[in-house]
Amino acid sequence: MNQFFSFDRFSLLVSKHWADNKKRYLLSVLAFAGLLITWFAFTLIIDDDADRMSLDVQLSTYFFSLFIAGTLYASQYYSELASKPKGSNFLLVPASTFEKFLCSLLYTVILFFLVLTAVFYIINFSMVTITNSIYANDATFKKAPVANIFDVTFFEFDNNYALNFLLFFFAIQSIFLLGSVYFRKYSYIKTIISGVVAWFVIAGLTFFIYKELYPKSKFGDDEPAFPSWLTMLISISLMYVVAPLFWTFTYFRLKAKQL
Amino acid sequence: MISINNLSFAYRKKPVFNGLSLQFQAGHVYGLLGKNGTGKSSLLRNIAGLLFPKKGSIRVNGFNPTERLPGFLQDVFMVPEEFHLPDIPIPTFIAYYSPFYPHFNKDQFGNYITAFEIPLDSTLQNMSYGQKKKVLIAFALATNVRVLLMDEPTNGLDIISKGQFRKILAQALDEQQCIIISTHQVKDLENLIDRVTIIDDGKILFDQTVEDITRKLSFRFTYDADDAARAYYSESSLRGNIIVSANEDGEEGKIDLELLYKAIVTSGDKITKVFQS
Repeated sequence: MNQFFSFDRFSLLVSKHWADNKKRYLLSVLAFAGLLITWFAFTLIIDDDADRMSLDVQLSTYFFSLFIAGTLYASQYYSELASKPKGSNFLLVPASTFEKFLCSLLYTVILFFLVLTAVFYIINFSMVTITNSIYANDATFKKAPVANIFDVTFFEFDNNYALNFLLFFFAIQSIFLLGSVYFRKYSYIKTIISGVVAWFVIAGLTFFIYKELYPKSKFGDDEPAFPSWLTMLISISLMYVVAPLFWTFTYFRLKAKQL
Repeated sequence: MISINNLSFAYRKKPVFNGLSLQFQAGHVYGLLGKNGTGKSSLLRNIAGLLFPKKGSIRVNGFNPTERLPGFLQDVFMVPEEFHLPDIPIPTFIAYYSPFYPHFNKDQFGNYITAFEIPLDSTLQNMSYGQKKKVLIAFALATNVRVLLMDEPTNGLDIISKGQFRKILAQALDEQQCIIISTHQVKDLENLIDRVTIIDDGKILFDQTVEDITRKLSFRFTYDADDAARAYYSESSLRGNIIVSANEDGEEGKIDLELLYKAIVTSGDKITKVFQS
């Protein structure tokens, strides 16, 4: 028997997680759809004619939803470990820690993203279609297009826009997944506070080290301007290093969990 | 089957065990007795791999519990004192949880549930604490794991259910299985266990088979004051005394776990000498 990974055991674990949580998940999807409809309806009322269901509204709604819901979901995935009865039930299920961890990635990263994006597109497409038909005869109204969420860039260090925002989102979400294993209570708030503190420490250290290493004459009068290679390094780290690193921390934290 | 060597365990700075060594074999039902907070649950949680020893080692079926490998987990089941069951109907629970245990027997589960008088189509969340506990006990027994750990299994069960529990457990006993039941409600385990282990302050105060206990000790009622004075432990009742004394005629009698426990706690040294001789 493979003690590290077995596809059969992993499938059982995925099915078990679904059986345990399907009521909550289905209600959450319905609540999300309802909130989206309410929000878009609200923007139709308050926006000027030309801005109704504009690309900005659609994209900001999508990314706001993705980041808030994604981090909230990740920060509560391992919340059962905060309770001894629920946590014991979780840890004693006959599957390896790696399988349990992989199940968390499947739900919080892949399935969450697919479901959120699908629900968003269904509601968004419907709202754009309805808006365009309602205001078709309004002279000041510009027909709203359906936003392409893959055609957005956060960091312009390469041309792979579709992957850019996803990788950045996974990086942020991975920190919240670790927070859900690490903190017993208020994991969302504690992760935000820890993340902000860590960010200031790292950014401050980078700033001072760089300032000390290189002569001031190379920079502006007041503060050093980071060269392109350093911003590139930070971008690449955010895209490709942060998520795998925090997932690894999560796995080892899960392995060492005691209740 | 379970080998504990020189186990030390502490909650932060509060030590629970220091150098504890103990063996549990297949084919036995062990009664782990002790006061509240003496480390019974901590010992079971260490065996189950939910807590890790600070020093020493535990081996269960050849596995190190701290690694929580699937091969270990599918042959060990713990019924914790505080437990959680998902908000799903019993058939769904069985459909999604039982495949993790290769020796799970659905017919056995059905029989236990029927004996516990629980309707099979119930939803777990609508059940009382006692009913949920009975479902968990039935599930645990039906897994047919080699190591079954039960922490205060009769807590929350009514008088009838406690009887049902004893009956079901007696039927379920298997020579390949090692069952460890931790409790402070010692009366609930009478006629079930075949080895008594008493823990106090993180140490093994007493560890003997029921056969040896009944051969060497006598639990009886006496009117004779001299008898009571000579006994290792005596407790006055309305008409006379209930005593724990040396079994001089060698005939095996009935064990009174509550009396034994009190005798060990109050006159442990005297009784230990009886078993050393």
